[in-house]
Amino acid sequence: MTQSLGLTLKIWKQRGPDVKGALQTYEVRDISTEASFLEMLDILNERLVLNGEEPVAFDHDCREGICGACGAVVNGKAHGPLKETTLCQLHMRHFKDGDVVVIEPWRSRAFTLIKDLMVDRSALDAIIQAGGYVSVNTGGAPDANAVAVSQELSEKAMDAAECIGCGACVAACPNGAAMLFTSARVSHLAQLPQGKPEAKKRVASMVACMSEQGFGNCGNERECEAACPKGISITHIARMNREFLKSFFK
Amino acid sequence: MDFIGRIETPVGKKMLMGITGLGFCGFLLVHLAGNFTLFQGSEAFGAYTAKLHSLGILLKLSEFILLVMAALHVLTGVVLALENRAARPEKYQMTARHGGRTLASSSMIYTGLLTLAFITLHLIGFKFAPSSGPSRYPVVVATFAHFEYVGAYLLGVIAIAFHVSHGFWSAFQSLGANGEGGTPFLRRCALGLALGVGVGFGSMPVIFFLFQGR
Repeated sequence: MTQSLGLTLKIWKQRGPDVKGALQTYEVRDISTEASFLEMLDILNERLVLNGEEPVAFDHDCREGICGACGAVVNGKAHGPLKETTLCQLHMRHFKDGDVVVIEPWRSRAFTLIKDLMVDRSALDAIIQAGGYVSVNTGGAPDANAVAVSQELSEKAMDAAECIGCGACVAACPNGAAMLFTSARVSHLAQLPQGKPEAKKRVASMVACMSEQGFGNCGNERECEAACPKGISITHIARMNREFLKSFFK
Repeated sequence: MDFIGRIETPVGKKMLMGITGLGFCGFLLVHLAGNFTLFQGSEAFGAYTAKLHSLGILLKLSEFILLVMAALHVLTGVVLALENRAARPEKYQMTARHGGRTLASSSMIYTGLLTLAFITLHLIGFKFAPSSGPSRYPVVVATFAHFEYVGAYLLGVIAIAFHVSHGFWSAFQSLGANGEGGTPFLRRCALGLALGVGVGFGSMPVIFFLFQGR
């Protein structure tokens, strides 16, 4: 049943990376419980624009929970209170009328704030780029099953490949570490025959890049896997650590 | 990337913490087993310490290795804590737990520093205490006759138990020795070890205080 609710929003407003920001309070009313969190922000922004006020800047793209563009820390939790759900897939029925909702951007030294809730996550792209290339055979279409990958392995690799690179793991980590993100990338390829020749080089340079970007260190506090909208497990971090250890030996 | 460069990465530093930490866990067990001779009386404890000291150069070597491990573990731990603090210059206005963090995991640097302080006092009090004869048994009796020493020791032992309850399983994870779905098992092991260490070492000052070694 559709109902509506009113909320007090406290949203982080910051005009740019080099100016000071602060929480600004907004009241919203008549928000349908069927609206998504981002639609609720759309409604707020529409009203702000009509009133000649500055709208709240936030990142979003597919709104289907698969692109990794959206994300904010809602009441202290990355992507809000619902498990394995991106902010765009969080619906207002999970809030109560009269709730006070604090909305903040991802906070990390490696993520420069662009405006309000938008941060520059290109540090994550740099880690992917550091991974380099993957060797595959070229030429005609490969024979089916020429490269044998068991169902189990492909599923496990897929578990890692599910990462949408939203950065919630960094935002949720008490230390601002990017270990879950990096390990998902490493673990994905480490389990497949494709890219095996570069495995040692890949993990070493991705870990080195992660270190250079200014992320913190893993404390094994497991906040990342609890916050991850794709439920990526810290077992991938253990695998990356194993792969890294292997890279010590030529 | 050379060897030192690899150790300096976030993964490398955690491996260093894991290896040295597991070493200390081993030391705790040996130390605990030896100390249980305290409950068998002065002679049994004296015989144990005499046997230990008869190892001579081996004992000195072990002590040196422990000292190097302590230096690495403490320095790396402090560096990690400072780096982690710097990794989020602008703090959140509102924080909440997502479901992974525990009291032990969030207080590693504090329980670690408390342990360092405790071990320093412990070494001054027992290892480097003026010799009162061939056995340290009288020193144990005299120390644990004081209420404030018993309290300080219990505080130190609790700090170690908390540190171990996160550190032991965390070490396996950092070293990549945590397999698929192994986290709950390793965490239970860590809790068991922490309880064993906490109750085992904690029983000594309490029993000596209550019964004065009799």
